[in-house]
Amino acid sequence: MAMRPKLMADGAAGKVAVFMVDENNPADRAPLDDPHSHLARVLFHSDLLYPIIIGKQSGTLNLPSRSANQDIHVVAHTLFAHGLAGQPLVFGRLTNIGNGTVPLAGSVPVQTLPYGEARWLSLGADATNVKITEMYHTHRNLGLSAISVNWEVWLTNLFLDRENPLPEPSGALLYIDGTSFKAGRGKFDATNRYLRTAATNGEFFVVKGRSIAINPLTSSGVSMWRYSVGGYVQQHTTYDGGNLGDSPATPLDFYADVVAVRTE
Amino acid sequence: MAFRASAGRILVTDAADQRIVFDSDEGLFSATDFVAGQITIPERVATYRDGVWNDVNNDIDHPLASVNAAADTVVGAFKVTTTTPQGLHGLGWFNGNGTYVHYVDSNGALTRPDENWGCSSVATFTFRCSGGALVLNERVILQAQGTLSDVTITLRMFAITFDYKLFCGRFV
Repeated sequence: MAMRPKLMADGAAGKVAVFMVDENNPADRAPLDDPHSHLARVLFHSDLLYPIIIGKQSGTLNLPSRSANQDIHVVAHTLFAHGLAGQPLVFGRLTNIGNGTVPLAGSVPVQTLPYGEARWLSLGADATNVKITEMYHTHRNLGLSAISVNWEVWLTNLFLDRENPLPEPSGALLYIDGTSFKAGRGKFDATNRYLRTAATNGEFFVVKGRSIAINPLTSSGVSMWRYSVGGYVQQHTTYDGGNLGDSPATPLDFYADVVAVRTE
Repeated sequence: MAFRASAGRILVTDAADQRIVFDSDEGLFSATDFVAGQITIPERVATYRDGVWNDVNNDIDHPLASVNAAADTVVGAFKVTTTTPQGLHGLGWFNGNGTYVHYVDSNGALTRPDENWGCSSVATFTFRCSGGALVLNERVILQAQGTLSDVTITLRMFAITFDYKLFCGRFV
Protein backbone atom coordinates (compact mmCIF):
# COMPACT_ATOMS: atom_id res chain seq x y z
CA MET A 1 0.00 0.00 0.00
CA ALA A 2 1.52 3.30 -1.11
CA MET A 3 0.05 6.58 0.02
CA ARG A 4 0.02 9.54 -2.36
CA PRO A 5 -1.11 13.14 -1.90
CA LYS A 6 -4.27 14.01 -3.80
CA LEU A 7 -5.69 17.44 -4.58
CA MET A 8 -9.48 17.34 -4.76
CA ALA A 9 -12.15 20.01 -4.98
CA ASP A 10 -15.92 19.74 -4.70
CA GLY A 11 -17.59 22.82 -6.12
CA ALA A 12 -21.04 21.89 -4.90
CA ALA A 13 -19.83 21.45 -1.32
CA GLY A 14 -17.42 24.37 -1.57
CA LYS A 15 -14.50 22.30 -0.31
CA VAL A 16 -10.97 21.77 -1.51
CA ALA A 17 -8.38 19.55 0.14
CA VAL A 18 -5.04 17.89 -0.23
CA PHE A 19 -4.95 14.53 1.49
CA MET A 20 -3.23 11.19 1.41
CA VAL A 21 -4.89 8.34 -0.41
CA ASP A 22 -3.95 4.73 -0.99
CA GLU A 23 -3.00 4.54 -4.65
CA ASN A 24 -5.06 1.36 -4.84
CA ASN A 25 -8.12 3.30 -3.71
CA PRO A 26 -7.82 6.56 -5.63
CA ALA A 27 -11.55 7.34 -5.40
CA ASP A 28 -11.36 7.66 -1.63
CA ARG A 29 -12.66 11.12 -0.70
CA ALA A 30 -13.44 10.60 2.96
CA PRO A 31 -10.90 13.22 4.16
CA LEU A 32 -12.49 15.78 1.81
CA ASP A 33 -15.98 15.08 3.14
CA ASP A 34 -15.06 14.78 6.84
CA PRO A 35 -11.60 16.19 7.61
CA HIS A 36 -12.00 16.11 11.40
CA SER A 37 -12.47 12.35 11.37
CA HIS A 38 -9.50 11.77 9.08
CA LEU A 39 -7.16 14.43 10.34
CA ALA A 40 -4.04 12.28 10.19
CA ARG A 41 -4.45 12.00 6.39
CA VAL A 42 -5.36 15.63 5.72
CA LEU A 43 -2.56 17.84 4.42
CA PHE A 44 -4.81 20.81 3.75
CA HIS A 45 -8.54 21.34 3.96
CA SER A 46 -10.55 24.49 3.38
CA ASP A 47 -12.72 23.75 6.43
CA LEU A 48 -9.78 23.73 8.87
CA LEU A 49 -8.29 26.68 10.67
CA TYR A 50 -4.64 27.48 9.99
CA PRO A 51 -2.77 30.20 11.87
CA ILE A 52 -1.32 32.74 9.45
CA ILE A 53 1.81 34.68 10.37
CA ILE A 54 0.96 38.36 10.05
CA GLY A 55 4.03 39.95 11.58
CA LYS A 56 7.39 39.41 13.18
CA GLN A 57 9.31 41.53 15.67
CA SER A 58 12.76 41.12 17.14
CA GLY A 59 14.89 42.79 19.77
CA THR A 60 17.20 42.40 22.73
CA LEU A 61 16.16 42.17 26.36
CA ASN A 62 18.83 43.13 28.86
CA LEU A 63 18.44 41.38 32.17
CA PRO A 64 20.45 42.59 35.19
CA SER A 65 22.61 40.51 37.48
CA ARG A 66 20.86 38.97 40.46
CA SER A 67 22.62 38.58 43.79
CA ALA A 68 23.13 35.33 45.69
CA ASN A 69 20.67 33.75 48.14
CA GLN A 70 17.54 35.29 46.64
CA ASP A 71 14.18 33.61 47.06
CA ILE A 72 11.81 33.59 44.10
CA HIS A 73 11.28 36.93 42.35
CA VAL A 74 9.20 37.79 39.28
CA VAL A 75 9.75 40.79 36.98
CA ALA A 76 7.76 41.65 33.83
CA HIS A 77 9.47 43.23 30.78
CA THR A 78 7.37 44.67 27.97
CA LEU A 79 8.84 43.92 24.53
CA PHE A 80 6.54 45.91 22.23
CA ALA A 81 2.98 47.04 21.61
CA HIS A 82 1.54 44.77 18.94
CA GLY A 83 -1.08 47.23 17.66
CA LEU A 84 -3.70 44.56 16.98
CA ALA A 85 -7.38 44.76 17.87
CA GLY A 86 -7.31 41.92 20.35
CA GLN A 87 -5.14 39.37 22.11
CA PRO A 88 -3.16 37.48 19.47
CA LEU A 89 -1.75 33.99 19.45
CA VAL A 90 2.03 34.45 19.36
CA PHE A 91 5.11 32.30 19.04
CA GLY A 92 8.65 33.23 19.94
CA ARG A 93 12.22 32.10 20.16
CA LEU A 94 15.56 33.11 21.62
CA THR A 95 18.24 33.43 18.97
CA ASN A 96 21.36 33.68 21.13
CA ILE A 97 20.51 30.86 23.50
CA GLY A 98 21.32 27.26 22.57
CA ASN A 99 21.49 26.94 18.79
CA GLY A 100 19.18 29.91 18.26
CA THR A 101 15.92 28.00 17.92
CA VAL A 102 14.93 27.76 21.60
CA PRO A 103 11.19 28.39 21.70
CA LEU A 104 9.65 30.82 24.13
CA ALA A 105 7.24 28.07 25.12
CA GLY A 106 6.28 27.71 28.73
CA SER A 107 9.06 28.69 31.13
CA VAL A 108 12.51 28.70 29.57
CA PRO A 109 15.63 28.54 31.77
CA VAL A 110 18.26 30.81 30.26
CA GLN A 111 20.72 30.60 33.15
CA THR A 112 20.97 27.65 35.51
CA LEU A 113 23.15 27.30 38.58
CA PRO A 114 24.58 23.84 39.32
CA TYR A 115 22.33 23.45 42.35
CA GLY A 116 19.12 23.98 40.36
CA GLU A 117 18.42 27.65 40.93
CA ALA A 118 17.76 29.43 37.65
CA ARG A 119 16.45 32.38 35.67
CA TRP A 120 13.29 31.46 33.74
CA LEU A 121 11.65 33.46 30.95
CA SER A 122 8.01 33.26 29.83
CA LEU A 123 6.53 34.90 26.72
CA GLY A 124 3.11 36.45 26.96
CA ALA A 125 0.73 38.71 25.07
CA ASP A 126 -2.36 40.58 26.11
CA ALA A 127 -4.62 42.88 24.13
CA THR A 128 -1.94 45.59 24.03
CA ASN A 129 1.58 44.32 24.59
CA VAL A 130 3.90 41.40 24.05
CA LYS A 131 6.16 40.80 27.03
CA ILE A 132 8.64 38.47 28.65
CA THR A 133 8.39 37.79 32.35
CA GLU A 134 11.47 36.79 34.28
CA MET A 135 11.38 34.48 37.31
CA TYR A 136 14.52 33.71 39.27
CA HIS A 137 15.95 32.47 42.52
CA THR A 138 19.60 32.00 43.45
CA HIS A 139 21.98 29.83 45.45
CA ARG A 140 23.41 30.87 48.81
CA ASN A 141 26.84 31.51 47.24
CA LEU A 142 26.04 32.07 43.59
CA GLY A 143 24.05 34.81 41.90
CA LEU A 144 23.20 35.23 38.24
CA SER A 145 25.31 37.41 35.95
CA ALA A 146 23.68 39.99 33.71
CA ILE A 147 22.56 38.56 30.40
CA SER A 148 21.14 39.91 27.15
CA VAL A 149 18.76 37.70 25.23
CA ASN A 150 17.87 38.24 21.61
CA TRP A 151 14.22 37.45 20.96
CA GLU A 152 11.99 37.06 17.94
CA VAL A 153 8.21 36.98 18.13
CA TRP A 154 5.75 35.93 15.44
CA LEU A 155 2.23 37.34 15.54
CA THR A 156 -0.58 35.26 14.09
CA ASN A 157 -4.01 36.18 12.79
CA LEU A 158 -5.72 34.14 15.51
CA PHE A 159 -7.15 35.94 18.52
CA LEU A 160 -7.52 34.38 21.93
CA ASP A 161 -10.22 36.72 23.21
CA ARG A 162 -12.84 35.78 20.66
CA GLU A 163 -14.00 33.08 18.32
CA ASN A 164 -11.97 32.71 15.14
CA PRO A 165 -14.41 31.82 12.39
CA LEU A 166 -13.10 30.64 9.06
CA PRO A 167 -12.69 33.58 6.69
CA GLU A 168 -15.65 34.48 4.53
CA PRO A 169 -15.32 32.62 1.25
CA SER A 170 -14.48 34.77 -1.75
CA GLY A 171 -13.33 34.00 -5.26
CA ALA A 172 -12.87 30.67 -6.96
CA LEU A 173 -12.70 27.34 -5.22
CA LEU A 174 -9.33 26.80 -6.83
CA TYR A 175 -7.43 29.58 -8.57
CA ILE A 176 -4.03 29.35 -10.18
CA ASP A 177 -2.24 31.87 -12.36
CA GLY A 178 1.34 32.88 -12.93
CA THR A 179 1.74 34.64 -9.60
CA SER A 180 -0.88 33.27 -7.26
CA PHE A 181 -2.42 30.12 -5.91
CA LYS A 182 -5.63 30.26 -3.92
CA ALA A 183 -7.76 27.41 -2.68
CA GLY A 184 -11.00 27.11 -0.78
CA ARG A 185 -12.30 30.50 -1.97
CA GLY A 186 -9.38 32.36 -0.50
CA LYS A 187 -8.92 30.31 2.68
CA PHE A 188 -5.51 29.19 1.48
CA ASP A 189 -3.42 31.78 -0.30
CA ALA A 190 0.17 31.45 -1.50
CA THR A 191 0.88 34.99 -0.38
CA ASN A 192 0.39 33.94 3.26
CA ARG A 193 2.91 32.45 5.66
CA TYR A 194 1.77 29.37 7.51
CA LEU A 195 3.20 27.49 10.45
CA ARG A 196 4.47 24.16 9.21
CA THR A 197 6.86 21.38 10.09
CA ALA A 198 10.44 21.90 9.02
CA ALA A 199 12.49 19.04 7.67
CA THR A 200 15.25 21.64 7.28
CA ASN A 201 15.73 25.27 8.33
CA GLY A 202 13.59 24.99 11.43
CA GLU A 203 13.05 28.36 13.08
CA PHE A 204 11.79 27.15 16.45
CA PHE A 205 10.16 24.22 18.15
CA VAL A 206 6.60 23.61 19.22
CA VAL A 207 6.36 21.32 22.25
CA LYS A 208 3.91 18.45 22.56
CA GLY A 209 3.28 18.15 26.27
CA ARG A 210 5.96 18.72 28.88
CA SER A 211 9.15 20.69 28.33
CA ILE A 212 10.39 20.09 31.88
CA ALA A 213 10.65 16.95 33.99
CA ILE A 214 11.04 17.02 37.78
CA ASN A 215 11.70 14.33 40.32
CA PRO A 216 12.18 14.39 44.11
CA LEU A 217 15.13 12.81 45.86
CA THR A 218 13.70 12.53 49.35
CA SER A 219 16.90 11.18 50.85
CA SER A 220 18.64 14.46 50.11
CA GLY A 221 15.77 16.93 50.24
CA VAL A 222 16.49 17.91 46.67
CA SER A 223 14.15 18.13 43.70
CA MET A 224 15.87 17.43 40.43
CA TRP A 225 14.65 19.07 37.23
CA ARG A 226 15.62 18.97 33.58
CA TYR A 227 14.53 21.14 30.66
CA SER A 228 15.28 19.56 27.29
CA VAL A 229 13.79 21.04 24.12
CA GLY A 230 15.23 20.46 20.67
CA GLY A 231 18.76 19.87 21.95
CA TYR A 232 18.80 22.76 24.42
CA VAL A 233 19.28 21.28 27.88
CA GLN A 234 19.35 22.96 31.27
CA GLN A 235 19.34 20.95 34.47
CA HIS A 236 20.22 20.56 38.08
CA THR A 237 23.62 18.84 38.24
CA THR A 238 25.17 19.18 41.70
CA TYR A 239 24.39 18.67 45.38
CA ASP A 240 25.53 21.31 47.82
CA GLY A 241 27.00 19.33 50.71
CA GLY A 242 28.07 22.35 52.73
CA ASN A 243 31.27 21.59 54.65
CA LEU A 244 31.31 18.12 53.09
CA GLY A 245 31.70 19.66 49.65
CA ASP A 246 29.78 19.28 46.42
CA SER A 247 28.90 16.00 44.78
CA PRO A 248 27.51 15.29 41.32
CA ALA A 249 23.82 14.55 40.86
CA THR A 250 22.48 11.96 38.46
CA PRO A 251 20.70 13.93 35.74
CA LEU A 252 17.14 13.08 34.83
CA ASP A 253 16.54 11.26 31.56
CA PHE A 254 14.06 13.46 29.72
CA TYR A 255 13.66 14.83 26.21
CA ALA A 256 10.59 16.84 25.33
CA ASP A 257 8.54 15.68 22.37
CA VAL A 258 8.87 18.54 19.91
CA VAL A 259 8.11 19.55 16.33
CA ALA A 260 10.62 21.69 14.46
CA VAL A 261 8.66 24.36 12.59
CA ARG A 262 9.21 27.21 10.19
CA THR A 263 7.26 30.03 8.69
CA GLU A 264 9.59 31.06 5.87
CA MET B 1 4.22 31.14 -8.16
CA ALA B 2 4.51 27.51 -9.00
CA PHE B 3 2.24 24.55 -8.40
CA ARG B 4 4.11 21.31 -8.80
CA ALA B 5 2.73 17.80 -8.45
CA SER B 6 5.14 15.00 -9.12
CA ALA B 7 6.68 11.93 -7.56
CA GLY B 8 4.02 11.75 -4.88
CA ARG B 9 4.56 15.33 -3.75
CA ILE B 10 2.59 18.56 -4.13
CA LEU B 11 4.49 21.80 -3.81
CA VAL B 12 3.23 25.39 -3.96
CA THR B 13 5.57 28.37 -3.94
CA ASP B 14 5.01 32.11 -3.65
CA ALA B 15 4.77 34.64 -6.47
CA ALA B 16 8.54 34.77 -6.91
CA ASP B 17 8.79 30.97 -6.84
CA GLN B 18 11.28 31.39 -4.01
CA ARG B 19 9.42 30.55 -0.82
CA ILE B 20 7.58 27.29 -0.26
CA VAL B 21 4.07 27.95 0.97
CA PHE B 22 2.73 24.43 0.90
CA ASP B 23 4.59 21.14 0.70
CA SER B 24 2.79 17.84 1.11
CA ASP B 25 5.96 16.46 2.69
CA GLU B 26 5.58 18.99 5.50
CA GLY B 27 2.68 19.45 7.90
CA LEU B 28 0.63 22.60 8.37
CA PHE B 29 -0.52 23.26 11.90
CA SER B 30 -4.26 22.76 11.89
CA ALA B 31 -6.22 24.08 14.86
CA THR B 32 -9.08 21.65 15.42
CA ASP B 33 -10.46 22.89 18.72
CA PHE B 34 -10.57 26.19 20.59
CA VAL B 35 -11.08 25.71 24.30
CA ALA B 36 -11.49 28.53 26.79
CA GLY B 37 -12.26 28.11 30.46
CA GLN B 38 -11.08 28.22 34.02
CA ILE B 39 -9.86 25.68 36.54
CA THR B 40 -8.71 26.05 40.13
CA ILE B 41 -5.95 23.85 41.53
CA PRO B 42 -6.34 23.49 45.31
CA GLU B 43 -3.76 24.67 47.76
CA ARG B 44 -0.87 22.23 48.34
CA VAL B 45 0.97 22.16 51.66
CA ALA B 46 4.20 20.46 52.74
CA THR B 47 5.33 20.39 56.37
CA TYR B 48 8.30 19.51 58.58
CA ARG B 49 8.44 18.82 62.31
CA ASP B 50 10.82 16.86 64.53
CA GLY B 51 12.67 15.15 61.70
CA VAL B 52 9.52 14.21 59.79
CA TRP B 53 8.89 15.63 56.33
CA ASN B 54 5.41 15.47 54.81
CA ASP B 55 6.15 16.28 51.21
CA VAL B 56 3.88 16.96 48.27
CA ASN B 57 4.64 14.87 45.20
CA ASN B 58 1.75 15.25 42.74
CA ASP B 59 1.46 14.16 39.14
CA ILE B 60 -2.20 14.77 38.33
CA ASP B 61 -4.00 15.26 35.03
CA HIS B 62 -6.93 17.63 35.54
CA PRO B 63 -9.46 17.08 32.70
CA LEU B 64 -10.48 20.21 30.82
CA ALA B 65 -12.31 19.22 27.64
CA SER B 66 -12.85 16.66 24.93
CA VAL B 67 -11.04 17.53 21.70
CA ASN B 68 -10.34 15.98 18.30
CA ALA B 69 -8.92 12.50 18.81
CA ALA B 70 -5.97 13.25 16.54
CA ALA B 71 -4.99 16.50 18.25
CA ASP B 72 -1.65 16.25 20.02
CA THR B 73 -0.44 19.84 20.30
CA VAL B 74 -1.64 22.70 22.49
CA VAL B 75 -0.91 26.36 21.80
CA GLY B 76 -2.53 29.46 23.17
CA ALA B 77 -2.35 31.31 26.45
CA PHE B 78 -3.19 31.18 30.12
CA LYS B 79 -3.11 33.45 33.14
CA VAL B 80 -2.88 32.58 36.79
CA THR B 81 -4.53 34.10 39.83
CA THR B 82 -3.59 33.21 43.40
CA THR B 83 -5.02 34.45 46.69
CA THR B 84 -1.56 35.58 47.77
CA PRO B 85 0.73 36.50 44.86
CA GLN B 86 2.74 33.55 43.63
CA GLY B 87 4.19 32.70 40.25
CA LEU B 88 2.91 34.83 37.38
CA HIS B 89 -0.13 36.00 39.35
CA GLY B 90 -1.51 39.27 38.04
CA LEU B 91 1.02 39.61 35.22
CA GLY B 92 -1.24 38.77 32.32
CA TRP B 93 -1.39 36.04 29.73
CA PHE B 94 1.42 33.65 28.86
CA ASN B 95 2.26 31.13 26.20
CA GLY B 96 0.35 27.91 26.83
CA ASN B 97 2.74 25.64 24.94
CA GLY B 98 5.27 23.64 26.99
CA THR B 99 5.59 23.65 30.75
CA TYR B 100 4.95 26.62 33.03
CA VAL B 101 7.09 26.84 36.17
CA HIS B 102 4.87 28.38 38.83
CA TYR B 103 7.04 28.08 41.89
CA VAL B 104 10.60 27.12 42.85
CA ASP B 105 12.34 27.10 46.19
CA SER B 106 15.60 25.98 47.73
CA ASN B 107 16.10 24.68 51.24
CA GLY B 108 19.14 25.05 53.46
CA ALA B 109 20.70 22.81 56.05
CA LEU B 110 18.82 22.19 59.31
CA THR B 111 21.24 24.51 61.06
CA ARG B 112 21.12 27.17 58.33
CA PRO B 113 17.50 27.38 57.21
CA ASP B 114 17.81 30.86 55.73
CA GLU B 115 20.24 29.77 53.03
CA ASN B 116 19.41 28.44 49.56
CA TRP B 117 21.54 25.31 49.21
CA GLY B 118 19.79 23.41 46.47
CA CYS B 119 16.51 23.35 44.58
CA SER B 120 14.02 21.51 46.77
CA SER B 121 10.58 22.44 45.49
CA VAL B 122 9.29 22.87 41.96
CA ALA B 123 5.70 23.38 40.83
CA THR B 124 5.02 22.94 37.12
CA PHE B 125 1.88 22.88 35.00
CA THR B 126 1.47 21.67 31.42
CA PHE B 127 -1.50 21.83 29.08
CA ARG B 128 -1.48 18.77 26.86
CA CYS B 129 -3.85 16.79 24.69
CA SER B 130 -3.93 13.23 23.45
CA GLY B 131 -6.53 10.58 22.82
CA GLY B 132 -9.23 13.20 22.52
CA ALA B 133 -8.71 14.74 25.95
CA LEU B 134 -7.27 18.11 26.91
CA VAL B 135 -5.83 18.16 30.42
CA LEU B 136 -3.84 20.42 32.68
CA ASN B 137 -1.07 18.34 34.16
CA GLU B 138 -0.01 19.29 37.67
CA ARG B 139 3.51 18.15 38.52
CA VAL B 140 4.30 19.58 41.91
CA ILE B 141 7.01 18.71 44.42
CA LEU B 142 7.09 20.64 47.67
CA GLN B 143 9.53 20.02 50.51
CA ALA B 144 9.40 22.17 53.62
CA GLN B 145 12.54 23.55 55.23
CA GLY B 146 13.83 21.44 58.12
CA THR B 147 14.98 23.04 61.35
CA LEU B 148 16.34 22.08 64.77
CA SER B 149 13.59 24.09 66.47
CA ASP B 150 10.56 22.29 67.88
CA VAL B 151 8.08 23.95 65.56
CA THR B 152 6.11 22.95 62.48
CA ILE B 153 7.50 24.46 59.29
CA THR B 154 4.99 24.88 56.48
CA LEU B 155 5.55 25.41 52.76
CA ARG B 156 2.38 26.44 50.98
CA MET B 157 1.52 26.66 47.30
CA PHE B 158 -1.64 28.73 47.31
CA ALA B 159 -4.65 27.67 45.28
CA ILE B 160 -4.19 28.66 41.63
CA THR B 161 -6.93 29.65 39.24
CA PHE B 162 -5.93 29.12 35.61
CA ASP B 163 -7.83 31.00 32.94
CA TYR B 164 -6.99 29.44 29.59
CA LYS B 165 -7.60 30.11 25.91
CA LEU B 166 -6.14 27.27 23.93
CA PHE B 167 -6.03 25.88 20.43
CA CYS B 168 -5.60 22.13 20.20
CA GLY B 169 -4.44 20.75 16.91
CA ARG B 170 -1.97 18.76 14.94
CA PHE B 171 0.69 19.24 12.33
CA VAL B 172 -0.74 17.39 9.34
